[in-house]
Amino acid sequence: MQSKRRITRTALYLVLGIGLLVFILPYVYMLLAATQKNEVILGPNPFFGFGADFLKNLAEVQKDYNYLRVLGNSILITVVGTLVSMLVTTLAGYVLAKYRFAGGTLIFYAVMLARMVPQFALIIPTFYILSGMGLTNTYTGVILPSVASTTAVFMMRQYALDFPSELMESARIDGASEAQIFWRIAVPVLEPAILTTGLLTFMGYWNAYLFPLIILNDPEKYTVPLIIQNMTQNTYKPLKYGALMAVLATSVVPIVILYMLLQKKFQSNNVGQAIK
Amino acid sequence: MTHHTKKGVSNYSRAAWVMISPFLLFFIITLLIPTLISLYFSFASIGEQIQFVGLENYISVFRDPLFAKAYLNTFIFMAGSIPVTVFLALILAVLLNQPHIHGRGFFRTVYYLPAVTSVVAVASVFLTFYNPQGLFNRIVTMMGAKPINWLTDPFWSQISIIIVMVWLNVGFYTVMFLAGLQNISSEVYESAEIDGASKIRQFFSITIPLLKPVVLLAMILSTINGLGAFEAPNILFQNSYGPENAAVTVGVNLYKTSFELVNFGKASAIAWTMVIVAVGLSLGQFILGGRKHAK
Repeated sequence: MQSKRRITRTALYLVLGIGLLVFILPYVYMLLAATQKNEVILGPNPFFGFGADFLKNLAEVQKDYNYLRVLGNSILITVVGTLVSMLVTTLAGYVLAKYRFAGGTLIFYAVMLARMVPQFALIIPTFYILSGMGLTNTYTGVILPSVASTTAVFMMRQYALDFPSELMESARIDGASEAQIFWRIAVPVLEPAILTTGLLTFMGYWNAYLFPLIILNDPEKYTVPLIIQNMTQNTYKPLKYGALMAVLATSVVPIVILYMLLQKKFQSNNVGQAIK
Repeated sequence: MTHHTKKGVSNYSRAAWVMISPFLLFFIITLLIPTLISLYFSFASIGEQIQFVGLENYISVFRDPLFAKAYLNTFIFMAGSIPVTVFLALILAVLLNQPHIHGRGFFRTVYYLPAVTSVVAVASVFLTFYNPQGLFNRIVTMMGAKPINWLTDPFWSQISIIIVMVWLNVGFYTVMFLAGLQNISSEVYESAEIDGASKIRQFFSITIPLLKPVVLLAMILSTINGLGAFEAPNILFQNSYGPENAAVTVGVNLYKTSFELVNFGKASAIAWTMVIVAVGLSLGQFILGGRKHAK
């Protein structure tokens, strides 16, 4: 009985481990291939370790695309976009969860309905409106269309529903304004929820492809996904696999590791503690 | 007292409007107005001037064989990837839901990574794997088979896209299914155990039926995403339609019609076929899911 159980458990971990390998393989491949020469990456012999060409590959991207500037563009758009979007959507989610007011239900249904419309359906009018406002080929033009994230509003509303109304009532009795209640009580209590949602918004901006693709045309303003596209679709130059992998190793892997670390940290929710 | 409450509510209602107004502003400018414009554009011809043309765009779309091909391909990708994804995710979720699993959180986080990784980046790694001399052909030849033309043969092109879709989605499904499983009370299993039901019996008569709504939701979400699939085919097939149009999805068709053929009217009509399918599926899910609850 005991040994049968052990075999079952070993098999269980074996399957989970195979899954782990399959999911981790592309990331490991990015890291290893980023340090190899093109000839090695597509050569007849497999490689299982690090090569010596990482800096050379990176220098190649810097030369062809001004990679540091591209990274800077991506960081700027992602950080500003995430901050603005989280401010706007946290407020909206909190209000939709905790306030009864004329039009509130209507807004909620509008948000739910808008969630069903694929982003793709909006690229043409968005492009039209942005060019009307003179915002094509600007960072603002890339940030704007994703600020009112209905997913983030929906998530924040779900989290805020657990936020105890008693806290709001007692603060009102103490004479706090609604803005004070939001900033001094709701935000600290909802912090884990804000960080969890913010992390997804952050990844959304960092990975964004479609809107930057149609809005930016000046290579000086390109974001990371756009130079990846450029490297794989350049008809004039053969694809430099080592350089491509160097981009992935320095733009995907660090963000994914950051996600893993932060995700672990944010899992707990403060709502339980606040009510005590 | 009534007076007080009334006054209170109206004050709060003003505060509520002030706090929600930034979102409303963005929502109206970047979602509501574009949705309406897009609907109007689908009935218009857009050049120097915008002119109402009735159903002309829709007629032109439905007569276009590429549009039919795009929907057919999307259907093939869904039919090819969803069953495999659901099957693999069910296995992983059920295993992760076993009691006393060490590192459950770690496994779950790693499985979820593809869902937060740039699809462009993932597709460019697979582009390398699919290279005639790439990793996949190395494995294929090692097993004694002939190398495969992953991206130049129409049949294998579609398999290539399906593989990427499965890899991208399994983790997301696993996490959803795991959450669904954790909602099933352990008492249900305990009483089944007492009644002498085997583990396999329990899986088919308890786990599967109770997980059905979650599975349905995951399938509908990925179908809607699949309609707009653009990034993976765009990178894998280097902004082409693929061999014999094998890699055209509705998203690719829409993008090319907008920004290469610059036919905004027709592109908007394509977009609205997507909206109708997406809303239809979501409502269908809503109704089916609602009925489940009513029981």
